[in-house]
Amino acid sequence: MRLFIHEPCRKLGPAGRRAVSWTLLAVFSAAFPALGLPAAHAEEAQDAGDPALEPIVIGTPERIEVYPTEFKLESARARMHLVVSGHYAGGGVQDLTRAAELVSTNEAVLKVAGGLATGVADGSADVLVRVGGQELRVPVQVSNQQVAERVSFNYGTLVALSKQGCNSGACHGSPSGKAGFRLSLRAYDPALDTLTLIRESYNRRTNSFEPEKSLLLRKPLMQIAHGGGRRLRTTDPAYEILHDWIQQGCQLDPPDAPTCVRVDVYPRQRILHRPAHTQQLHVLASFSDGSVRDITQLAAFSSSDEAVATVDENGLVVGHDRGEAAILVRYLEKIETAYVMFLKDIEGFQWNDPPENNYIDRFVFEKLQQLQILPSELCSDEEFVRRVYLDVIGVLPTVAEVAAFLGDQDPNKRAGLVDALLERPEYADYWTLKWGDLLRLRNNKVTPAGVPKFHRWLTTALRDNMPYDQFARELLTADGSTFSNPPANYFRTAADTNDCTETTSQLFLGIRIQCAKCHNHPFERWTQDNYYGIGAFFNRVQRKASARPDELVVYVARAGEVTQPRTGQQMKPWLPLTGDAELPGEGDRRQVFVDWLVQPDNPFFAKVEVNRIWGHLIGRGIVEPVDDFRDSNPPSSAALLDALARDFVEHGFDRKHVLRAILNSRTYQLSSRKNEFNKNDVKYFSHSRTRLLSAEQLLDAICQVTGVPEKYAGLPAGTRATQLPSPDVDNYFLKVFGQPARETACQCERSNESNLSQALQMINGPLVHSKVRDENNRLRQLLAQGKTNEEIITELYLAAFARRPGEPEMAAAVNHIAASGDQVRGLEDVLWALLNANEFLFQH
Amino acid sequence: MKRFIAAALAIASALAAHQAWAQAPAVSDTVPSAAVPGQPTDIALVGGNLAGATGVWTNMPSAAIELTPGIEGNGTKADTVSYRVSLPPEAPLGIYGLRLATGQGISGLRLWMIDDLPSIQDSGANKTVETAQELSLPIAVDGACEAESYDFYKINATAGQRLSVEAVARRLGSALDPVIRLLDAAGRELAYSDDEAGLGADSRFVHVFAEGGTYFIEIRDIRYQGGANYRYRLRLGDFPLPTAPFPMGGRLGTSPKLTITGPAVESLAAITVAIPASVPGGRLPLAVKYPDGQGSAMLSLVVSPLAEQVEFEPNDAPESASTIAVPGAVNGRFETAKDRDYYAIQGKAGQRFWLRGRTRSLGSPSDLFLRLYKADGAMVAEAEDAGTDDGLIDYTFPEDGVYRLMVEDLNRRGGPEHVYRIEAEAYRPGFTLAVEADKFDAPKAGVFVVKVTSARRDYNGPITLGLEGAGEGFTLANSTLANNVIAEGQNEVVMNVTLPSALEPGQWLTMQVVGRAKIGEVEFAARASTLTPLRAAFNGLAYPPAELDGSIGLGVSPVFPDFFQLAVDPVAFPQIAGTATFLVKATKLNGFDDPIALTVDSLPPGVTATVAPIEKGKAEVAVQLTGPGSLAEAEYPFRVTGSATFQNQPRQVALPAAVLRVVKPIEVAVAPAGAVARGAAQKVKIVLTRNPAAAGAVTIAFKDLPAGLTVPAEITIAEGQNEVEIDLAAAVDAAVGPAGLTVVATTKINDKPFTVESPQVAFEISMP
Repeated sequence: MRLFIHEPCRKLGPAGRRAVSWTLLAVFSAAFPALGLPAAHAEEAQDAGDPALEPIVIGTPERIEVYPTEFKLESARARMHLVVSGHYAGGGVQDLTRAAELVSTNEAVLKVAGGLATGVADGSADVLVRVGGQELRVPVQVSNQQVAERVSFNYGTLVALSKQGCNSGACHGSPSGKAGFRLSLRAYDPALDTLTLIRESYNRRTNSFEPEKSLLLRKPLMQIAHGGGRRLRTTDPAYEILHDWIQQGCQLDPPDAPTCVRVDVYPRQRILHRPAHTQQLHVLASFSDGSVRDITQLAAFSSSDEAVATVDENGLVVGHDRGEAAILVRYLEKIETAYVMFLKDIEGFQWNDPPENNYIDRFVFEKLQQLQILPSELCSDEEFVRRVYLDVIGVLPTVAEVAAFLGDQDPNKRAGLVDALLERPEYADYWTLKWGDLLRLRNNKVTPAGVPKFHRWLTTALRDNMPYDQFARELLTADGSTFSNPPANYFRTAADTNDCTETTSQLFLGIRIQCAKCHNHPFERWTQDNYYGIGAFFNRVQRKASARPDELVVYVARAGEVTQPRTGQQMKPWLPLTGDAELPGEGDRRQVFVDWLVQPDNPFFAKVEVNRIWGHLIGRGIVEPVDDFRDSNPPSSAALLDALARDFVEHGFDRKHVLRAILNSRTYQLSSRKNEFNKNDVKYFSHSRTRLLSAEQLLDAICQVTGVPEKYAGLPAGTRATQLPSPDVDNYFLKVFGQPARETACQCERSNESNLSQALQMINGPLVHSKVRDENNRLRQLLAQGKTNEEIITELYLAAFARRPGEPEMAAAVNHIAASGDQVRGLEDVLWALLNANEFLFQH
Repeated sequence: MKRFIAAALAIASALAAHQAWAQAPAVSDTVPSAAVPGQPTDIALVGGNLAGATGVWTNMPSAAIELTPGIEGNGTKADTVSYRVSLPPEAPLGIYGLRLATGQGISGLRLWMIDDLPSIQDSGANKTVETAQELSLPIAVDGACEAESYDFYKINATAGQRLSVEAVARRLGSALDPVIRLLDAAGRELAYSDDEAGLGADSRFVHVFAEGGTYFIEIRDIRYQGGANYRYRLRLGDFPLPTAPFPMGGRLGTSPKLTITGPAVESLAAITVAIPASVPGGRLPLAVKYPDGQGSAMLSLVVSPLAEQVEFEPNDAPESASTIAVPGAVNGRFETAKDRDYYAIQGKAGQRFWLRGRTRSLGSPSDLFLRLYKADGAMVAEAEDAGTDDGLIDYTFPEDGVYRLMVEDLNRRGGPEHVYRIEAEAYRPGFTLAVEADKFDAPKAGVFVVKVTSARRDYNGPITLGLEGAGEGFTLANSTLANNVIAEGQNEVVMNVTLPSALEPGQWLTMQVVGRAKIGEVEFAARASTLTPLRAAFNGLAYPPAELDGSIGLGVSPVFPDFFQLAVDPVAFPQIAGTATFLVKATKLNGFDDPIALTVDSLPPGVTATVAPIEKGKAEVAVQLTGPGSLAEAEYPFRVTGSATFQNQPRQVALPAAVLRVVKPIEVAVAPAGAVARGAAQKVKIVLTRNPAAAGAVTIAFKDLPAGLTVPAEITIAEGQNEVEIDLAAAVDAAVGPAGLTVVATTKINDKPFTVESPQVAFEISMP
């Protein structure tokens, strides 16, 4: 790479060169301290958190509540955990399970220890609960204590293995197993587990005559060497299940054995205000025979945000910091979630009751107030005009546009600018770039002739503000020629049924379902059956060549079914949260899928898109990553997401309406400067989030500030980077700054990470160098017009930062030019320094 | 535009330079690209090697074409030639082919039009809205797009005015994939067209102006590509935008009534077309025009001997299927989306039929999906189109009964323009043929080579190929066809065609390769297709004009020049030995360097030659002669013939009078150094002249040595040596005076003794 050695710096020598450059940069960056790179990175940090499991401060509850309020123990293996909650004056609530005294009123019938009730003999008894001066009785019926109970293979053995992590991806659940022993990942394939547990290794893994000698027990107990270490104790509930199942002869479940139909977790939601900081969860499984079992000890738990809360293997949630966490509860393929919010009083915090521009602010501020996070101030007009231009149309405002906006005295000028920008042609160009990433517009996917056609369709759809439901429908039901009907390229890039399933799920449902292709999703509710059930909507989509080179014709075959590769079962089309769809005949099943997809009450469709828009404008999705909706990745504000989605749906899936709502909110217009109470907030939108300009934004901005456009091979002069139909122009600068190759439908492919190559490009790279030195660039044109140094510096500031320079900045720049002894070179230094300032490189 | 003309010339010149002799003409553009019916149109053909143009071939009906008079040097310039094309007023709009002939050969096919719109060229300076070229309507602009650029045109329109805009590019064989836009004065897009249904890559739209004012038409390549080959004809006026006539086909010799389908065909009345008894290519060009319109639109009608039917609605269900006769053709339309048409066919056991769909190849946007059902509703066959094929069901009825053909659009689309045609024909065993080139240039009395391939259907026998339809005034009747049979079981032959000598340089003709075979009792014939070379020449145009398929152009160039000469030195053939080797030397000319095959004949009785070719890169080869050793000493004339092929042109060069000279195997001569004095000695040299066959040792003896002279008792010239020097001694009493010396040389050849005597040499014995 050719290094850029700036002329004045050359005179100074290396040390002097660095001194000049960094001095200028320091001056400019000092004018905008919130934008420093280290600061931007620091905001990812969290408080260390408080130590866990402090003693419970019981206080004086007004009343206590026990869950369950009554129960039955209908087998010798039945257990029941009890969760005790205290309700306090003012509406506060606290988990008192750890502090409560639980006593059986008849120990001959019922035994209670450690919050766990077990049966002793058939009969009735109460659990007497005392805490905080309150007392409650929980009636219990105990039966069938003398009846031997078979351990269920599916709901006992496999659950126990899952609980202990034996079949996790890192252990025997990996595709090739471990040490010659393979289990299906988290028990998604009982048939395989039957084989490997019982049949393989000459029955050494299970020994029904001497269960204790079974490898299945001895290895995790570390009685003999086990690569996975100690995974089991004889006191674990799982040990008893595995031991008894082996002892009973490793029986499989009969075909008519009841199946688990539902899992419920208690409490589903809870807000705990410190000193309350722990919460015991309670999990019940309901079976097809009507029975209900406490599976708290067998369920697996995980936290969505361990900085906020952790959860132990028994379902005890411990809060560490302010915030929300989703506690995922897994019982085989059944998954439920408990949402826990932890609050604490912050010294000196006082809600400043900022004005609300619209409903968005109401939801955001409500949560901030609850978490005692104070929003930043409103951003300045200078910050706003730069921010909104970049976010809506992807380019910087011109000097004239900045001046016009700053000089506008209309109190509604921000809303007016938003409206105007949404109607600019650059709006369609810029948002087409985003959808081009997701739809994988590039030559090797869509062909060189197909790219401009598909690009044009996208641009037109965005220009005309095609309702998003129609947009999805046109893509997902497209057929015919990929040339004359460009949305049919959706099925060119998604070239087979599996790709259709995965792409559609990620783009329109926010579900990353790829894992379920080979096995049930290890962390989510999506099963392998679900994967192929969705695939059944797309399996009939076929592709054929046409008479024109590179043209592909997409059509729907009249027949064709999906076979689940593991079970060999022919799959019915399946809709998430709805179930199987009966779709006889030759019709286009995609229509049914889209009909379901765009229903106003679809829980995914609208949310994914408003979240995508929010993520773009705010820099972080309400669900983050924006296309990764799952129980274990809850929204930072579910109410806000719901409200945005509702607004979107009620306005006919009008994307510009949502954009307008967000852009006009005070939340969007908050400053990026943080205060004492929001300095650690990264996900509740209490301040504007600084972020590096995208590759295309940055290159266009450099071109605009320098006044030297970039030329892209094969495209007309004047084409901006944000107008590029595909990354095939092979521009190194764009690649370095994260332009995606468009190989996947994941938004994550666009990198927003900073790296050394970027720094080198900006400091020494040929692109910046050539534009700074160009004989027809902005500063030379200004010089030719007879402008003074001050006038030129002011215009450069307006062009780059959308603001005028401060006095120290002006002085530093003027002094540098004077010291350089060469006006042009000095001005080049100033321009170069502006381009390298964080205030230029970052959206803020 | 002018820049592109220059570029086209450069390209054409470069291409022509590849062939040393066949400097055939190459036409890269026609300016304008259309001739106007009812009036003469001067059209400049632009390209390379155009000097000495001898005529233009076109399939434009009733076209009179002559060199445009009044242009200085017209017909003598290499880069352009102007022709005046005169067409009758009724000449139908359409796209036709042309070829230009010169004394050096004939050009490849180029497409041009008959168009009733006046033509204008683009200015070349219209790359921005600000520099847009102003047009007066109606008009057609011939232009070419530059890479990474646009062409803009400015028009003025009145409120309510209807404007049709059509870019004819790919249909003319251009590389351009055109996009056209209509912009208002503020740059707002009012209309956009790319890849219009039924037109392939070409574009068109109709717009009714809400307000009067200035508007702009933008045209560019969809990928911003450009260059001389990215030409377009941008038609602007008030004309319909039809897709196809309905019905799409008519029977030869009938006068069907047609309605016109398409996205913009309002107020077009039905037309009645008189179909002649014979139509080349099976496509009849048609033109339609609004009653008060500006300009016509082009479309075409399929014509065939088949009986024609039109679907009878309702036929959306098997029970209401329209009955159709087979063989025959039915024309239908998918009136609305999801429309599905059924046809009932009375099948007879053992009958095998082709049910062939026709849509996209005829301009309809529909993508056919066909299914055939038995009477009980069981599906027995289905087909969809693929590639350039519009869909074919090949089915043998297993039993008598009513079968139902279901026809629908593959993607269930419908609308007025979604017309289709099904042709039902009895299956016939046979074949299809194809050639890999659509034009040939051959020197006078020279040769051109045609590779013909076949695809067979239930026929494996020989296919005899011939050349037919050489065009009016020309004939190939006396040509020689070599290798004109595709042998049984084979699918390819390379046919060499030697032109009749009556064809003179500058003459040209068009012809077809036709294959014939007797299949059973039926004489089957098929014309070889040229679609592959046409598609290549027309930048991938999926459906070149059907009437041009199979048409092969042939141009006659001057006699092919010599490209090698031979030479042979006289050959010495020694007696007794009976073998000799000689060199045949070649002088290769004009870049020729391929092998030259040799034959040697007319040799003396019993003499045979072992001959190898003069290889590539070599200039000579040795020929071995073998024959009897008893030939009498004499000179025998014989013939050496060389044969080679250069640029498909065979050439034989014969040397009819090469000389074979039969000689003795050795000759001997004696040469004393001078006189010898009595009592002294003198050197005497004995010299052999050997032929290669006599390389062995030779013993020398003196014959009749004069008294008083002595020589060594044994004199031998060793193997491989050709002379020896001895001492000749004279006794003191030797007789003084003149004497003669004669030696006899004896050797063995092929184990047989051979003796030869030297001529006597005069010698002097002198006094001391």
